[in-house]
Amino acid sequence: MKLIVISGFLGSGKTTLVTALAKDLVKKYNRRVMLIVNDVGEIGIDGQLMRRLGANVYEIFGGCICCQLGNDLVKLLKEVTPQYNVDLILMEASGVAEPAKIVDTVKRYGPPGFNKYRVLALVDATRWLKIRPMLEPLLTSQVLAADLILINKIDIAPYDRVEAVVCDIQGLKPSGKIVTLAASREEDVAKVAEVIHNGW
Amino acid sequence: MAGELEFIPYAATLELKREMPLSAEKWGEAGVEFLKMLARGCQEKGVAVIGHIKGFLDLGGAGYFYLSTVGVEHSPSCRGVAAGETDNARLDLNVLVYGISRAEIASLVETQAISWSLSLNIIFTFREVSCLEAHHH
Repeated sequence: MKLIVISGFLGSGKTTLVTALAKDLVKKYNRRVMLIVNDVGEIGIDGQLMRRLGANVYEIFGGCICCQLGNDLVKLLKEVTPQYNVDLILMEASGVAEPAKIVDTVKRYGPPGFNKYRVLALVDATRWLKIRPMLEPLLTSQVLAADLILINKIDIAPYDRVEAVVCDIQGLKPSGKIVTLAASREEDVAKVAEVIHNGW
Repeated sequence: MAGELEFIPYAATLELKREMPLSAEKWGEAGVEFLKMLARGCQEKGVAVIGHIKGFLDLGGAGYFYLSTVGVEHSPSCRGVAAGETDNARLDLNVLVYGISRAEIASLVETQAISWSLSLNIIFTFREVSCLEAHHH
């Protein structure tokens, strides 16, 4: 079973991506996917949307699973993974989560059966350069922990800004694999689904 | 906590009621306008970073809208499946910002909700559900 943590700052497009990704992975690749979403707010809004879109989703809200709600995450995984024959868990982290801590928690305390852990980080191209200096070390930690960095919202960000964000991310993580996309476009999501399906 | 900025998530539910029904499309537009007002209000209050302001507007049998904004540069996004009309709705709201206190956020949301509802002839009841501490790693 593979665990993919989808991280990225608040409003970077995680819910849009996760919802579309799950659909693609199930429909095109017959993957058995479980969705877990963590909303830091006291009301689980992302989960409401996913359910309306037809996804079966487990929701943890009212805190962050990388710290306060780590126990809730472990408990949930232990309860639900034996019940379903899933081969992939897509876990949407809260926007203020440090994904490395989530993976560490699952590795240490989670149920057996996971053989692959991957982190995907979304970066909002429209405002990364503006907010990064104010939100360190959080934003850097999300990028540094990522196996795949997705620079999102290229459909609404000016081209030169996207280029500048790519440069900044490359400086931060020279070995990082970077993809630019608009998570609202089906063809872009399809590319990410293909990467995930092909053993990444 | 990121750097010196404190992050306090704030959440509230607004039960909305109108004397006359409104089309689903108009409810969506009204939701977008409310998020715009909140984002503008945050900026005027001196919020350091608008993390995410998002809402789920439940129109009952008439459908739903998911509303989202990260600032004043772009109009809030609004997506959902809705049709017909309704005289009532529920708006779940998460305001996730950096740099002002929870009391200031609460006051901002309530003030903007009053002004917004008056312009649309909406009567609302307001329930704050925030009781979280600041986020620390």
